[in-house]
Amino acid sequence: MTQFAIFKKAKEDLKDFGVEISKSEAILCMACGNGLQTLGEIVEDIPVFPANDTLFLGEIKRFGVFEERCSICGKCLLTNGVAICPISRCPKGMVNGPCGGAKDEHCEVNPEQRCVWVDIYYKLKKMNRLNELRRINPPIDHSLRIKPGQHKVQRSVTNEPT
Amino acid sequence: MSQLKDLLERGKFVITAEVGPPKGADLREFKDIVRLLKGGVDALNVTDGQGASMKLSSLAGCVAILQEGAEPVMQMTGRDRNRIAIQSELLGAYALGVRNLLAITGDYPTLGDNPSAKPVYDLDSVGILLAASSLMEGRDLAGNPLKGEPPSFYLGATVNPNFEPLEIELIKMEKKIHAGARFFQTQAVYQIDIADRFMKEASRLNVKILIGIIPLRSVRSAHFVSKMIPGVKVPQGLIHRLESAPDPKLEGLRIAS
Repeated sequence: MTQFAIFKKAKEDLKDFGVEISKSEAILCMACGNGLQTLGEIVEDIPVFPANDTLFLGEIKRFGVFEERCSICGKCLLTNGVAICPISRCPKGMVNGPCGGAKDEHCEVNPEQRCVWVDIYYKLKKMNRLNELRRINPPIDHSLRIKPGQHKVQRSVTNEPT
Repeated sequence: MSQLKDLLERGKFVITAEVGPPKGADLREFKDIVRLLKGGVDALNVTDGQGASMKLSSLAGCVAILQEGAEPVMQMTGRDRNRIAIQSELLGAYALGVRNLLAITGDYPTLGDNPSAKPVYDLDSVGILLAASSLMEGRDLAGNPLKGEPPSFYLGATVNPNFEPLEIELIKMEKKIHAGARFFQTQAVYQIDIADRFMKEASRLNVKILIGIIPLRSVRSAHFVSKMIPGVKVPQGLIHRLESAPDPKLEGLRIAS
């Protein structure tokens, strides 16, 4: 569903609660930071407060367990076919291999987590693609993600039906 | 001219020591230590907020060492500065007489004394080497030309022989060499077999290697090293040696030598 459709739907859903909203002094929103701001754009005259501190874009591993997998960084590093993102899964976002701080293959920052570069190494080794590790990745281009992110999908003119 | 480069490239056995700048603006004790050490070592490494603790800057420490007539190796991490600040500080360091650089990614802020600091890591160790190599060719990392004669650093990096699996650490070491590293300082190693295994693999890479050791002063300091220094472990056998030694400090020095 596009953001526009979500916005429209949220607006329609909230219509059913028009009376309750108009009687309210404030709204406590249990959605993430995105949902909170969508609500804030619809309900303009009542303060809207966050009930949560949004942590990350989480993948649901199992019920109640969320893990960060993507940092929405603007240029996907995963051209090596390994499908494990070190920008998101390494605390330092290392792009050229491990920082060397791991002990017994585990991360210096979170010892319960295996070093993501060790995971990448084993997976590439299994695929017989260890050479992928030898490529030097340039530093991340931060100009690709100037805040606030904005993206407009544009229909290509050449694909227009005539 | 880097004396460290001269000695290493001539194949000499080189000894360096690490000195940590103070948590404060008074350099007197630091300079006393430099004076004590300078006769016995070829160069002095200055840490850059070691263990992610906020200390007087590595560059200022290097300048103090130069003032004492010794040769500094400036450690530079990517933890606290973006690429603009890193390159700017490298230019400043060269202008002030620093010739040796050791590029390090840097311990994570939550391990240090300002745990809520923003971790920067705009450049990792490979990125810092790329930036320094680029400056040495007269351009900044974005390709813009520098004015005047470019800096000429002797570039170094770190490697951890304790790392498992070692193969990935060696691949990374090769990347650091491609990015400009000519000498390596290793993380502290306490097992001869680990040092041997590493040197056997690394000797084909044609770079200079300084093996690291942190002298252990006591059983407590051995536990501290194992617990607090990322990527390093003191084996149980050495801890027993320290426990049964009449003078643990002397025993620690024996182990180190």
